[in-house]
Amino acid sequence: MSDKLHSTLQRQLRRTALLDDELTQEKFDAFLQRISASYKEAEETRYTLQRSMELSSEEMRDLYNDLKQTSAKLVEAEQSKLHAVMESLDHGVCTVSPKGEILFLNSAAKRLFGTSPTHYQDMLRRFVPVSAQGKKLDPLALAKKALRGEHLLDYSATLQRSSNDRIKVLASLSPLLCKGSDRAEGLVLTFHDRTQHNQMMRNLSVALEAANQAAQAKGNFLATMSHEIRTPLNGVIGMLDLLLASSLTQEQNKFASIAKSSGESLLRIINDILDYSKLEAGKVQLETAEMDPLAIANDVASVLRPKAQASGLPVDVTVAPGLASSCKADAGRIRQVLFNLVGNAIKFTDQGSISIHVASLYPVTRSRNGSFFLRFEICDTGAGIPTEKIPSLFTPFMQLDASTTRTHGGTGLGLSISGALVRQMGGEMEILSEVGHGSTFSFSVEVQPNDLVVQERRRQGERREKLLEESNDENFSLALLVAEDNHTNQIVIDAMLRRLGYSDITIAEDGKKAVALASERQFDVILMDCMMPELDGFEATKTIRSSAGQVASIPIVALTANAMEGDREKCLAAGMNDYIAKPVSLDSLRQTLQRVFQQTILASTK
Amino acid sequence: MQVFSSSYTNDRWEPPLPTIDSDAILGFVFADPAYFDDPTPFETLTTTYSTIKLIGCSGAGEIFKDQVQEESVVVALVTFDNARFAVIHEQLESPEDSYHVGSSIASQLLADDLQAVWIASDGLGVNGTALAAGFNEKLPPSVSLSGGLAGDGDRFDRSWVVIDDKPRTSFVSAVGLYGDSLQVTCGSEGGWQPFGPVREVTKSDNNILYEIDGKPALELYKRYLGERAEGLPATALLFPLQISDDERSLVRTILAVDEEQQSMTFAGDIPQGAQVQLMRSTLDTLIKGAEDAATNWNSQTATDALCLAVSCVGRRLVLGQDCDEEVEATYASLGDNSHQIGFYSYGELAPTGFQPCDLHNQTMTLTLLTER
Repeated sequence: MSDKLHSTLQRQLRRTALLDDELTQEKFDAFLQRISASYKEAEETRYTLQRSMELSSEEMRDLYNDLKQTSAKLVEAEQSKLHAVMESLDHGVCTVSPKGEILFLNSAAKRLFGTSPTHYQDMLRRFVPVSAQGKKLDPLALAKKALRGEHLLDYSATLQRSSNDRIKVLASLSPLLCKGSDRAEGLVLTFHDRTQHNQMMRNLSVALEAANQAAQAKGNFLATMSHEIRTPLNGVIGMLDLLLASSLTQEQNKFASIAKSSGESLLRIINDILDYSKLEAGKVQLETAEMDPLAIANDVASVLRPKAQASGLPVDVTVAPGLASSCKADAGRIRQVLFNLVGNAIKFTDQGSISIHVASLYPVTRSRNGSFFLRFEICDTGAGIPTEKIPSLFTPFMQLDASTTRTHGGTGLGLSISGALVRQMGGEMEILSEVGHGSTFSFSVEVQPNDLVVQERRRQGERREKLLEESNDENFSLALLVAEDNHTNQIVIDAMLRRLGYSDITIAEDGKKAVALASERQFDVILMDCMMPELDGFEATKTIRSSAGQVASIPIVALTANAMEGDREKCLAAGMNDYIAKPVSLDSLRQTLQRVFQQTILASTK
Repeated sequence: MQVFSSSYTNDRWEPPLPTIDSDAILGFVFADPAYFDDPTPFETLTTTYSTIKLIGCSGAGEIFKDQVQEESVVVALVTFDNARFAVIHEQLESPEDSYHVGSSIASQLLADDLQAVWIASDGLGVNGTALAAGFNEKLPPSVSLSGGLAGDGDRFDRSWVVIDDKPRTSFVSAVGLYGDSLQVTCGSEGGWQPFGPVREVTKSDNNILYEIDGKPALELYKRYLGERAEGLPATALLFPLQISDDERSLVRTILAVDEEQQSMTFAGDIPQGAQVQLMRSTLDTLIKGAEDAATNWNSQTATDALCLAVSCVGRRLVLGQDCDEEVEATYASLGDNSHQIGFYSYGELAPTGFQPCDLHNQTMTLTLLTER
């Protein structure tokens, strides 16, 4: 029987020994107490369990509500920030569901639409995108593309705001992609008003045209005026000529001469102005005809020589070997530039000499039509020009300073005109000058070979043979390699070498190419710039010196702009034979090369 | 190994103390706190066995075989075939000494063949977390380390440890067991489940808890206890705290409350910033816990075996008269030649999983001793 009782009751019976031996009041009381305690325990347990369940449920509910409220607040705060950003945009932003319902329009979109569209269909009717070629595009097709995930950016479109109000907009259509999903949940249309932008562009182009017209008018006016002034001035000068040819008193003759020379000055000024205004108006037409470069140089020299001789200045013309004897170019314009530069040289040189040097330069990569450059260098031994003043030389009506204006006269247009003419002839004017030592103005102009080019080449050859004989210097037949990265320096060193009589000149643009060229072909000397890209002069020299064969012993002369103490040692240490500091002068180049050749000959005869 | 166990009630040992022919007798003894004022049963042991070494303490109920008793003393007399033992005790001046005392006793017990250490510590004037850490510092992980904190019924007033044959407060006693013949197994399980919201400890100082989620911790307990708050601090044992950090979670139970400070003192540290959750249990889960503590051991032993059962006072409070069921469950897992004695404690010391020995609360912690 007791086996079937609850385990607690069984224990209570056992602990009180109620069923063992005889039943006493004491045992029974103890048993009852245990039962009572058991009920109490059960009651307390139930109470505790129930209470804890209720309270924790309550707490969990509160927690849930807190969480819900907090997250709702957070979401709301984020949304309001996003909304504020959207509203602050000047661009219209519009989102559309895949079904075509308009989900959101920011205030800029509402403003731009004028009357808000009710449905995407309505929106599409009013939105006409245009292709880059100006073709009308199907907005529905674009929308489908965007829904498939394409981003369609910067389409021009017309937006019909109301029946008689349309604006130009620039619009983009993108898929509405949410984080973690690659399926578009709608479309985002962004657009902004281009009316103002377009209007501004139109205004700009109108203003530009007006400015161009004004400039043209000014040019025309100047040209006309100059012409109108020149005609009577020619009359005045002509009459003065006639007057001077008549019998005049000595005093009258003097007055008339002054009047004539003043008139001629005025005419020159007017011609300058006319030229300049023509150039500015783009009205100068180049006339291409056969010409002889050397003849032009000689012409200019002979015309200006009397004036130079008056100041005790000789004017020499020298020619580089290989100068073309004939080419096609605008001889008149070249002569004009040359006149200006030689005239300036005479004007600004007190003592010493003036020289004109003429050379042909062939471009590194030959042009298709065989064009090449004529290079003219005008050297003087004048006062020189400070480097910082050089750029202002080409400013119209500018002269170095007021005092020189007074001393030397002129319009201040000469260099501007010359510079513009050279540019028009496809060249560039360069100025090298050292204060106290003189200046070299040089310019190159692109010219065409004439039809007798083959004959010309032969004549060049003959001329060079002659020059070689004259110079009595066997070195002229030597092959020179110039490693130099700067294009201007390439031209200068090439021109200088040609002037010294060398004609077999190869240019390498960097050290790497120099090393490659030296290994391909046997050169007699290498002029090596020290600072070059890819491989500098020092490294290039080391590479050549360490290579196998004859090339390792080739004489190498450093060309360096770093005229610092110790540079010479550094060059020699790298294995170079000699050293020329930049800027390279003709004399130093000649002397150094002679020295190198002598050493080489000495070494080979030992 | 031979074990004899006996229970002392109504001024006599039942079964009566036998004659034991050994000069190395180890006596595990657990008693009702009231025996502090009457050390007679201990003295009968030391007079009967002149060389006996006693280790034990007061509790909140004594475990003898498959029953929970009150107002009694229980003893297990152990003699070893080959193993040796040593009992060391030290006084705890204050809870801050706990770590130092732990490491000091451990160093005195340490020897090459040390297999196990079982600790009986004062249950109120100690920081059990620090005590365990002190022992862990000196003992290699191969040494089995377990034990319990003395109890004082549901009064939390005065707990004590048996030193020689006298009950003494503020002491830690430990027995070291030596020799390859020894087999020692530990098991510790709770059977409590966390419930309700996860809360944060916002103010605490070592083992004193002031605030949870910015509110007095005591307020939370009183709210949950309702009318049973009158039974504080004992009734707070109904809701132990689960403390979790990144590595593990521990169960902590209350030792005292301070109405003035609105604070609660726990048996181990409650770190500020820790995540805590109230826990609850039912009879079924606790019994299941006790059964789980006794799994994984071989009940068929070559010699006698002794199971030292240390169960938390909190479990006793929840189980009431049914606390017999948990000791019945653990007793049933033992073999025929096994003895079980133990006590209801204010804290259990045992390793869990791969973690070294630490202070636990609300668990049934078993240590099974036998010889090969």
